[in-house]
Amino acid sequence: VEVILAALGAVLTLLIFSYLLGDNPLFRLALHVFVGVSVAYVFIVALQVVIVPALSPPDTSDADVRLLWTISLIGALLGALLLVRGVRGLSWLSNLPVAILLGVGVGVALGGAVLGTLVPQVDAAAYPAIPEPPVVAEILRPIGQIVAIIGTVTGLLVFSFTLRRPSHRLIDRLLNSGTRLGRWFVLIGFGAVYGGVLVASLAFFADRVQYLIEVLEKIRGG
Amino acid sequence: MVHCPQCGAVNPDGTKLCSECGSELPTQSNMVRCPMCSHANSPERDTCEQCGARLIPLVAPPTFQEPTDIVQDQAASFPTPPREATPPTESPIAPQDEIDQDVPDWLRRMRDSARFEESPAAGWPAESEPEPPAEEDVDWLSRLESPDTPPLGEPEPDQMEVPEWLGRMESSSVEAEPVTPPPSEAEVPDWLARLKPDEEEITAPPSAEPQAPDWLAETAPGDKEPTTPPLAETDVPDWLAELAPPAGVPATPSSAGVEEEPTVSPAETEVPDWLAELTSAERELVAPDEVMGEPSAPPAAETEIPDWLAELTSAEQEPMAPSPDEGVEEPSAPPTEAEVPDWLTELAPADEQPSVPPLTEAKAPDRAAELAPAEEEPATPPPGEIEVPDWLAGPTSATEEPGAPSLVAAEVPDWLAELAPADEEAATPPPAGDEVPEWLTEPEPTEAEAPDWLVEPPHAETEPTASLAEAELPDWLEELAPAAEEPTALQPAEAGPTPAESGLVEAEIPAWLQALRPGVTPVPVPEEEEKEVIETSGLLAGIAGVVQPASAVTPLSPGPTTPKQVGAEAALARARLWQELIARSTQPVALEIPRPQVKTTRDRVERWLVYGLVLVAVLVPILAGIDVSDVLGTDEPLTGEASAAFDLVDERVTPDAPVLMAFDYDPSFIGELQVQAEALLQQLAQNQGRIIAMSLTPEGAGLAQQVLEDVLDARGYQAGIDYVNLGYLPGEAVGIRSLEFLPGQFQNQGFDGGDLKDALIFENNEGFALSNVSLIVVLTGNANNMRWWVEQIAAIEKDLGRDLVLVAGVSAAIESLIRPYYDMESPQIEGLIVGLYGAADYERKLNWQDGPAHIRLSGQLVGQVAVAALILLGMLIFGVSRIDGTSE
Repeated sequence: VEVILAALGAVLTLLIFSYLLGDNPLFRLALHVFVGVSVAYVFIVALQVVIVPALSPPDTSDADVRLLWTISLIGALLGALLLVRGVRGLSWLSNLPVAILLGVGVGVALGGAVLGTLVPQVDAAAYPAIPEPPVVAEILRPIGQIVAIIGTVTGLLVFSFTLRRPSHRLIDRLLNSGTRLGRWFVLIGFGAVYGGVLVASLAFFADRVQYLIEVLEKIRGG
Repeated sequence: MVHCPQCGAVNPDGTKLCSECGSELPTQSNMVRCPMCSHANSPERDTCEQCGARLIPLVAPPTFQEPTDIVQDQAASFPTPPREATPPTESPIAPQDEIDQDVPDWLRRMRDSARFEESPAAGWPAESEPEPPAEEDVDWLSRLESPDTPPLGEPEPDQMEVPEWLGRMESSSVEAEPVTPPPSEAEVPDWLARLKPDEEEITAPPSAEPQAPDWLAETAPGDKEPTTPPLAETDVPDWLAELAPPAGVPATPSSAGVEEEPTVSPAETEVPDWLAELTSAERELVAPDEVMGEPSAPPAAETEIPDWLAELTSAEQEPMAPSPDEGVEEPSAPPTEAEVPDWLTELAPADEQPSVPPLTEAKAPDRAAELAPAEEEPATPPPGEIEVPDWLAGPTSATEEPGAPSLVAAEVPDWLAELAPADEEAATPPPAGDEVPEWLTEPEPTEAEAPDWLVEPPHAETEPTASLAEAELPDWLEELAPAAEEPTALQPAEAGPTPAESGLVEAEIPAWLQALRPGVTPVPVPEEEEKEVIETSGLLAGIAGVVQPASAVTPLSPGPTTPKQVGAEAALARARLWQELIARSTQPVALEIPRPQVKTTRDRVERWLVYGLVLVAVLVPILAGIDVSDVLGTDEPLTGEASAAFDLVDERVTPDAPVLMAFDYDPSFIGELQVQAEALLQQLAQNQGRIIAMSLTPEGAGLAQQVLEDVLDARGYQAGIDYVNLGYLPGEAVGIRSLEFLPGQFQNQGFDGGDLKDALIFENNEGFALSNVSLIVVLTGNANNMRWWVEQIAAIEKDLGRDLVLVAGVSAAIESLIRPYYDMESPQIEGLIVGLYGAADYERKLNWQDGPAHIRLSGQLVGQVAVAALILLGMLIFGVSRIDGTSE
């Protein structure tokens, strides 16, 4: 069975790689299988790990656990209201859970973004970390700070798509120059992301190649 | 604030004198209100300071610039004379019998009125065809009569609204005794008093002798030698002749001049005093040389001023300027029957002239009608007649010829026509001669008893006469004339049958506007008279002034080219373009879709070469089992982050130390993250840490379960005791945050179905909580997931008051996005493992030489070199082809 499943996996992998030949039914077959399996897997996981445990009455008399169970029931009820969104006349009921989801989600995400990203990253842009050795770090730190600040500011200028009102010529020149410089910072950043994606892709490809080799070895080894 | 008209200084309200120059400031009392916008202007201004309208009329005498004249003007405005319906034969429109039958009474009256207006002799109905008395009598006429005089016709004053001015007149008439002598000079109204100096100043203009009006001739001094024939030969109106005493006493009064004329018949010596007074009064106004015409007025000595006339004299509080007669048309032919002016005719007592149809038919005065008298048409003037205002014709009644044609020939100015309500009845036949009225039979008044209205210029009783029409109006009279009501009325209207040709100006000033008029009488802007079209058919047949439909659809005449027209042309051009677009075919037009570039064999070969090269570059090292150290030629780790992370984990994880591992990646990242997880689990297992696995993605829970079993089971770890897989934690960022407050949400059953009761009991019998976790390891290929962890960990640290150690194992694809959280003075991610490099370094630190990362990394490195070479090769080829121009 293990060999069969491994072989099936290898076949599906090859079907996916068949996309190198262009869009073909084999690729679509593998794609549909992957989508179907993924949805089924997600549904089973949600049902088995989230819904059923949440609705199952606890077998303990612990008040905290009972309270959590009650809260879970309320959450389940709110989740059920989401299902009536397609029912005419009752669709308004789904606004409540959506409002709760959005409100709680935005509140949590916003607070975390301020504390975890904005403030620390602003500080990091001003005081970038310079690796060893210390002598070099002492020399490069001011340069790194300047480059970090310039890169941040000019990078933001690149994405200022609002119409610029005519102002002083010197200011216009500074803004244009900053935009051009920031564009280079952005290009470098996109290049880094592309390099990372390429590396990740090669890693995935290597993993799949190794997997196929292992499957072949298994099939060959019986 | 008040602006000084002299120096322009601003003074507070209520100030009478300017604080700067001391000049008198305009006040509300002397402010001149603009007739157009009602803006109060200083009296010195000629035009309105707000709208620019002219405040002072061009021809208005300056003596009428006082606001008090407003009331006087109003009082002098007599109602529109009642109109009589002309005989059907005079109507230009034949009555439609079939329509008349269906016409209601009110409409029939309107039609009759229209015919009356249409008729050239409407104002002067034929004597032979007196109209029957109208239902509505003239109220004001009835009031003009003496109290003891029987009402004319069938007046019903109670049924009519009496205007204020008429009320005053009525009261005056009531107070006046029928035989009360005329008011003295002191009772002259103010406006007349102001007029007099002017009149005295302008009495100089001489006039041609033959143009002297009769009445002037009559009132001329005795130096005149009237060639007037005896009274019996003068044109005494019939009615006056009838009224005259049968003893041959002339029926018409005689002027003073006649009295002085020895050649005058004896009857002329019996000129009544009031006529004599008139003569004496007019001497002040008319120079002797002006009275060139021979007084043809018949002697009126035998006539007596009737009571009603005396009463009227007292009642007329505001006579107009002295109406010098325009001269007798035929001075050399004294009428046998003195012409009785129309105003006199209509003013005759009703009881004495009960058969006078105009009086009986007079309608109630209408303010609106009196202000629009221009519709009235004067009597048909004889050829060669000189236009004489009606008001000038009044006093000359004695010299008028009885012939109606001459009466109708005179053109009546509008202002005069409206002021003479009873003028139109002048042509009515006088009462029979045997019916001598009482006022004629009474002793003639003395000279001192001359009625004031004769001494002073009569206002409303004036009427045009034929004899006056031929006389030229003296200049000074022309200037005086407008003082009565409308200056423009002085412009003599040309003889003509129609109002437009006669120059009659419509005094269409409404009452409210009349009240707003400033102290001066504004010059009415000559407006183009609308041609009244008389309806010829339908129910409105015979009614003039009907709004014609053509006026509503009169097309706009194109004016000169203006910028608006230019814009209109542009709009027209756009409209034409739009029309063309609409006119185009609505059939769908197939767009030319660029055909996809056909892949040639060369393209296919090149592509497969790339594929094969990458495949070989990756596959060969894996198949050959080439180690990374062999590729790089060194055993040193590739990056320093993985080594730091290894040291951190090794430091933080102690036996039974809870370590939270989040497997937040999906199968697409197992090539990097799965090997990282394996390496980390190897280290954790070495340090005997208790592993609590979870995932923010459903797929991650399954991948976590797989790697846990693969690594930990081999290390002797027991599921549910040494490690647990909590499974999927929904909520993303909220789910991470819930770990702080709701750790018990995890149920008793793990992802693999095992019991979690004992697995979640940690040291000191404490349950699972983030505060108890020694290390948090997050493996993710999604930057958002890593950011959620970093952010919520920061928030939780603030709540817990302690730092949490976070180690991140990320894909190389998101390294650039995650590294900022690591390369910090106080890194939020204290340990970072990136991609397959980090996994290999970690394996190297673990001395796991045959780890999967090592093998894959060699293939990846070779593949990266191959891809880089291909990219450089492609760029080179593309650059060269561009230089050669063969990039296509």
